[in-house]
Amino acid sequence: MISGEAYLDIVWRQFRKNGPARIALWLLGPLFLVAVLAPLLASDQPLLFFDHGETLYPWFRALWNPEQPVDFVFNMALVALLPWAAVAAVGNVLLRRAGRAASAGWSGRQRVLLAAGLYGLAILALVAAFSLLPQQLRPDNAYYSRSFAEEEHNDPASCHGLYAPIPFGPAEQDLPSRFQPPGYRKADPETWAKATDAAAHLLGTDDGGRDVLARMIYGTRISLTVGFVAVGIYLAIGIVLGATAGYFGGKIDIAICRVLEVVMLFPSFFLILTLVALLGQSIYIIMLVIGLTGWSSIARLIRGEVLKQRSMDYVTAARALGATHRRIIFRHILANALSPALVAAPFGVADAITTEAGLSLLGFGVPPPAPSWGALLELGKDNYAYWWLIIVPSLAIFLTITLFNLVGSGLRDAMDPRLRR
Amino acid sequence: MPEPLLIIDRLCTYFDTDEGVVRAVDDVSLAVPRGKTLGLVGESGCGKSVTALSIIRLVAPPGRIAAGRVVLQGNGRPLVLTDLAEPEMRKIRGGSVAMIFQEPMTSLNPVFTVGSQIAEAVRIHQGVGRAEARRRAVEMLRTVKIPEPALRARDYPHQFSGGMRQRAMIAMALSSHPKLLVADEPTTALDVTIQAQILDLLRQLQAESGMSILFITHDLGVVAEMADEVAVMYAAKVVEHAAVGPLLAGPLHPYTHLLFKSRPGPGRSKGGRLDTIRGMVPSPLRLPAGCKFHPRCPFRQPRCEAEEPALWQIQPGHWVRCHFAGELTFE
Repeated sequence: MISGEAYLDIVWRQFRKNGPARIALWLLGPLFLVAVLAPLLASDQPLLFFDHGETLYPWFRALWNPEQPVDFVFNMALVALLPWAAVAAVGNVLLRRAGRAASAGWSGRQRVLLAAGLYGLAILALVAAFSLLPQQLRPDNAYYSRSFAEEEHNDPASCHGLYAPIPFGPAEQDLPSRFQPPGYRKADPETWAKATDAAAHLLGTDDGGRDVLARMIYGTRISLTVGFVAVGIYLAIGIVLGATAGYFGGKIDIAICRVLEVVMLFPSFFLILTLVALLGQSIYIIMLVIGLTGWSSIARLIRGEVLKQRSMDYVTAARALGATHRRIIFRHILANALSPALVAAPFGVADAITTEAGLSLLGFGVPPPAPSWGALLELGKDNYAYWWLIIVPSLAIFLTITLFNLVGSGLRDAMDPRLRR
Repeated sequence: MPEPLLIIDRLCTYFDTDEGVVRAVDDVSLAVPRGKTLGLVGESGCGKSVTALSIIRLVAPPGRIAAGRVVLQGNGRPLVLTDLAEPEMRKIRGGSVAMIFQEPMTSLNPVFTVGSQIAEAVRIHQGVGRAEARRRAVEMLRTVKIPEPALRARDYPHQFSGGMRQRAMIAMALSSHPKLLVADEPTTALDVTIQAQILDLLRQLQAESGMSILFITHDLGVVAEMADEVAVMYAAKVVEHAAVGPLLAGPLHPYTHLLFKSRPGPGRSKGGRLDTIRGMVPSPLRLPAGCKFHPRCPFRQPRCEAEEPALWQIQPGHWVRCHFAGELTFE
């Protein structure tokens, strides 16, 4: 007899046997982490800065006032992620010390409530800290670093700061340093006035003198956001409409199918070009248009699966038990019908990332100075002398898309019962 | 005598197809007595399953209940099921009236555990929380005699054997203690020993709860074992209806008699031919005039083609739809 495995357990087990797919999933984790932890990796604001007895925390304040809306969401995720990780780690250690007996008395629900409570407290503490601590943001990045303060300043010990590993921001312009190749560092030590003058641009600079590595890191956020939001939109629309059409049949089915056929014909790329020409560049246009035009393939897949499932005996049995249509569709049928949609999702994300990069390459993507990978590519495309602006973004786009494609292909193989091992 | 639990009064369920109107159930009147079992017998296609589905209004379009009523006599107020709005009907389904189906293999959703599906039935009708519903689901599994019910509740349907799956279906159906259980050939797909166990279980549960059972089958042996009353259907109509003893001892309709005769059994000489009923069940789109059975009936008379017989009470509690019932001698 087959062991007591749920369908998803079987899929997961098969997925893990697929080498490339497993590696791809492992690499996606760091990609997400880079996106969320971007300010910790690269920021022009110091985390801590001591200035003549005054302690400042400009990095924290900058988290709350980012320039891009995408950044705000990720920053909030960062704020939520770190306290949660800390609470989870501390909680784990405490639980292990106290032994299993300590947690045995708590039900699952109580444990969740306790964790949520502690975590909520941690967030509150963090917010209180932000509000109460002095967080002056100085104009034109007038922060000094320990490395030269001792040499340059009258009062060296009283003015130094702690910066992120890459002490550049994605939007920090420095026009004298534009289009510098990787490894560039400001030449004249005598005129170093800022901390960032001392550091090297590991991947060079772009047309505004901004550090390319910092922009690549923040560009992760834009690519992932466009990918997931667009796919999220069209999965939601496609699943609901496809399931409705498949389950109810008749006139509803005909109506939805006709709408589907029309939507399918829309070329999303050119529609975005048109809307951007009319309305200006915006990340929302890209996400919405991809989302609102891409649902047709998902809807068709789901409709087919639902048509298969709705004449199954368990549906009749569920109806004989008094289940409502909604319950039958969204619990019973979809649980059996979602596989093609799950397989299509990673490919959809890869597709959306490509579209966004392509649009930015043409100048129709996210509005500048957003650090999109495609925008960096656009800077390099006219002049091959700026090779770092061509290779680095291309490599990033290529690797990211490959990762998602591998995950999608791995999922597809994992769900195919004929390939089961 | 207490009034029956369920009354089906001149029910007509028709299907509007491209080739015409198919009268799957035509002027069927039945009554299911309280605490007892009514067996509904007939060949494939005679309308037994559609009758059952019509009771809880699960007949899918293009089928529709064209005429007649189904009345459930609850405690006091009779409930006309055919007139109920859909939300109230949903409360009845799985609540006061439960139905189990022929194929336990496919009647359970393969991606959910058995326990969670029973718990779902409990939560729909009894509105309790998750933990309590799981507890009651395990209790129901124990009631239907599944060993180690707490462990088995976490299994998936593919880990259950056919008999166990049917027990699980019965557990689901009975979770809200229905007054009427409609069983549509529940043992047809099971082997004979398991069938016996399931029938035993049903009888025991009926004795404990006092529920009525409408038992649909084409197996006369099962009818003999389970039913207190029997109704025989042919071509969308009831042709005979009597208590089980008198029916088995002395059927009065030619069709019923020929059905009994066509069963292979001991006492026949080896190598002899089996008795069959000549002809074929008529297509529902081209039903014969008059009595629907007359083309195949060895006793037919010109009157049978001219005039459709009504269902009349030839003896107290014994109804027949035949012009010449009682006058015929069967050998």
